[in-house]
Parts: sequence; structure tokens; C-alpha cells
Amino acid sequence: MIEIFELSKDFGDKTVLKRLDVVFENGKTTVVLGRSGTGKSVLLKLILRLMPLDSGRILVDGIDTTDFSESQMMDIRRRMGMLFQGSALFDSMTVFENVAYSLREHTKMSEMDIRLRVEEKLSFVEMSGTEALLPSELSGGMQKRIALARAMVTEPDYIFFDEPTTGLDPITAQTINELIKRVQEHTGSTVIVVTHDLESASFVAQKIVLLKEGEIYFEGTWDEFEQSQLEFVRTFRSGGKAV
Amino acid sequence: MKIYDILIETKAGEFLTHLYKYAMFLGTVIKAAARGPYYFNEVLEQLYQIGYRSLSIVSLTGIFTGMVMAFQTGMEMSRFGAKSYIGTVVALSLVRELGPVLTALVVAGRVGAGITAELGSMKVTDQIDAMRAMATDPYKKLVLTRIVALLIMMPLLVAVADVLGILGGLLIATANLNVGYELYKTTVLEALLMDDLVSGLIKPVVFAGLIGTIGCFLGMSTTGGTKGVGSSTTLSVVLSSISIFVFNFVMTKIFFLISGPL
Ligand SMILES: Nc1ncnc2c1ncn2[C@@H]1O[C@H](COP(=O)(O)OP(=O)(O)O)[C@@H](O)[C@H]1O
Ligand SMILES: [Mg+2]
Repeated sequence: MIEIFELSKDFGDKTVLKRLDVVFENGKTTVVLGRSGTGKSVLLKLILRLMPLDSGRILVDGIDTTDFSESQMMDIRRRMGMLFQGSALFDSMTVFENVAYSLREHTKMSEMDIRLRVEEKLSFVEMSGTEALLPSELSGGMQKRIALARAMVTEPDYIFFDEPTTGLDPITAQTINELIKRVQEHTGSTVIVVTHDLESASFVAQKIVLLKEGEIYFEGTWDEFEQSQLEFVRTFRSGGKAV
Repeated sequence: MKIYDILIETKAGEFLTHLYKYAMFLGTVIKAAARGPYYFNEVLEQLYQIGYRSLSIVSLTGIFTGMVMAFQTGMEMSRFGAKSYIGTVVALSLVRELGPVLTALVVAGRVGAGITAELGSMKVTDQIDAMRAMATDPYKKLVLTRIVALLIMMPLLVAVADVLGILGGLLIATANLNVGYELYKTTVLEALLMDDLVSGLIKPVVFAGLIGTIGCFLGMSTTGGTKGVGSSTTLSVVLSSISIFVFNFVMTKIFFLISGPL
């Protein structure tokens, strides 16, 4: 469980998160919705502490990580996997090396076992046979799938997806949605998906959180989201068209 | 925050802010060096990338510098009947100044710029954050390994440039100046004192430190997409080159003070 209390983050004069309170429950897929630039990526980066927070507290399974140093955070990060918005695959490494990265860094697994595990994850994301390719030789959708395989290769307790379907054609987007659902069902991991894609949210979400101006505007199930008459929920649902 | 805002508004303040960030960066690197894990394989890879692949351009720099030195000074010295000292002049100027400085400039352009561009593009495409998210310290894995490889390789590259430069000088001495091999060899060996060899090795280590830390610092602090990578890379070459010249002058002064007037 990830519990966030009164989390605030500014960049210079610009307030991105304003005393945000939110809980991500174990074994569930929570979708964080919000317009571009509302701080969805920042929220994920703060949970991983890839940037410092200004104030507030972040608890991971009851452990308060707020004041953790970079090296203390390393142990927390090992239990998390993240799919970055732009995939962020290591472009100097092959697909195999990318997916094997965490196993080689942090486990004593033999090369044989690593090979088996990587092949298993690649087949899960339906990318078998691409081991020797470089990321630059793959399309955007393929890169996302490899990045997904990389994020889940250590079978972490938490998996975060930053805009997994943005910029993909609808069909590729749907295959990614199905993968996200399968990952969650398969591993029982706690999943956070950050997106502004409602199609994707309706498909994977067990809980919806809608951010507006650095605060939580709405929190509930997808059905509740669909039926909500709150003004910004209606605007968001209709894609900004007058309602 | 307030002081910082005031500082950043003036040119001098901006400079101090960057200097402060560079000092913080050095602190992070030292902390990363203090405790494992260490990435020995990555260092080996970097030794190859940095060292082996700079060998040809450094060799050419050495040979041609030695030849042109011998030619220019040799011609001038013949007028005073002093051309037999050509070996002395070539050896001293190469080992003390030209070898280290020119090699460092070449390495700053080839390796330093490459490091900044590589780390900078990793930074702007979130690969650095991805590495941290996968519980690897990029200061240990990327920064330290490159700096260590530079520190090891630079003295070797300078030694290659020195030796080839002196041989280049020999070529001109025998072919154009009628100074025999034996005489050249004797003057070279007599000219070079232990002090010169020591200073000739300390300088490259200092230059390697400058190129490596400046290159990595600018790479790791790159923002602003591909355009940002371009400007960091240019800045890396400019700052490394300037600091090489400045530190070279300062070190030459210090070595003269230590070894006394000749
Ligand atoms: N490292 C940073 N430095 C300065 N501003 C940032 C940084 N990261 C994000 N921001 C700003 O914070 C806001 C939220 O960004 P982000 O979390 O990426 O939005 P999104 O919800 O689209 O993912 C944006 O206005 C962005 O410009
Ligand atoms: Mg984002």
C-alpha cells in the first residue's frame, strides 16, 4: 500500500501538487487521470523519489520513506517497476540487455536463468525474437512493450505506468491495455496507471483518481466516475466539449 | 530560495551558482566512490572506448607536433649554429608542455564531448531516471567509471604522444637538419630530468580530472531536449579547453617554483 499525505511540490513559482492525499491499495489498479501538465508524472517520480518533495509524507507498506536518503531509497525502488512516458529504454543496449538489466544488477541469478526469465517476459509482452535488436530499431508501441517487460522482470510489488497508451494507434493502445490488465491479474502487483486516455482508464481501472490543479478532484470506481455529475468530471469525460 | 533568486539574477551570481553546483557534483562523485558496488567491467569498456579509440588521433598529434617543432626551431637554431641542441628543445617542450596540453585538448574534443553528449541524451530521455528507478546509482555506474577510465588512460596517451613526438623530431633532425641519430638521442636523454617526467605525468592526471568531471557534470545536468544536449556538448569542450590552459599555466609555475630556477 502506498499512502500519500499532504504531498506538495513546486517548481519555482509554479505549484504542481498541493497538499495531495491519496492511497494506492495493494493488489489493485488505480488510474490517475488529469490534464497534461497537472503533475501526474511528477507524482510517480516523487513516489520513486527521483526528485525531492517539498512537504508531505509518503509511506510504502507502512514505512515512511519521506526522509530516506538516495541509498535508502534504492531498497524501496527494487520493489517497484516503472514504465516511463517515453519508454526510456537504454539505447546503447539490446532488447535483451535492457530487460535483463535489473536481474544482472541485483540478483545472483545465473546467465541461464536470466535468459529463461527474459524470454518468459518477452513472450508475455509478445515480443519474442527481438532480443538482439536495439531500441532504435523498434516502433513506439514495441518500445513500450519492451519497457513493460523490463519493468516487470523482477516481479516487483508495485508497477507504475506513465501514459502507457499515449501516442499509440488505437489497436496498439488496446494491446497495451490488455497487457496491463494481465500483468495485474498475473502478478497481483499494485498497479498505478497515469493517463489522460479514458478508453484505457475504463479498461484497466479498479479505482479512478482525477487530479485538478494539484489536488484530488474526484476519487471512486469507474462506474462512479461515469455517473458523476461534478462539473470537471463531466468536462473531462466529454473531452472538453460543452456539457 | 530567496538568496538563490537574487544570486541567479547577476552574471557573477550565475557563475557562482554553477560553480556551487559543480562542487556539489564533485561531492556526489566522491561519495559514490567511497562505497561499492563498483562497475569494473564498465571501467574496462570505458578504457577501451576512451583510450584505445583515441590512440590514432593522439599519435598523429604527437608525431606532427614533434616534426613541426623540430623543423621550426631547427631552422632558427641553425642560424646560430645551435642546431645540435634540437633534441633538447623538442624533448623539453613536448614532455613539459605540448604533449600534455595538446593531448588533453584532443581528448576534451573527442572524449569529453562524447561523454557529455551521451550522458546528456540519457538525461533528457529519462534513461538516467530509469536507471535510478531500477535501483542503480548512475554516479557509480556512468560517472565514476568514465572519470576513472580517463584518469588511467590520459597519462598513457600523453606518454604515447611524447614518445611519438620525439621520434617525429628525430625524423626531421636526421632528414632535414643533418643532426645524427646518436647526437639526437644523447641530447634528448640528457635534457629530460626526473622532474620533467613527474610533471609530465601529473599534468595529464589533472587534465583527465578536469575533462571527466566537467564532461559528466554538464551531461548529468542537461535539460531542454536535443537542443540542450547540443549546447551542453559545446560548453563541455569550451570549458574543458579553457580550464586545461589555465591549469597548465598554474602547474607550470608551481613546478618551476618547486624545482628552482634552471
Ligand atoms: N524537472 C522539472 N523541472 C521543472 N518543472 C517541471 C519538472 N518536471 C515537471 N515540471 C512541471 O510540472 C508540471 C507537471 O508536469 P508533469 O507531471 O510532467 O505533468 P503530466 O501530468 O502531464 O505528467 C508541468 O507544468 C511541468 O512543466
Ligand atoms: Mg506526464
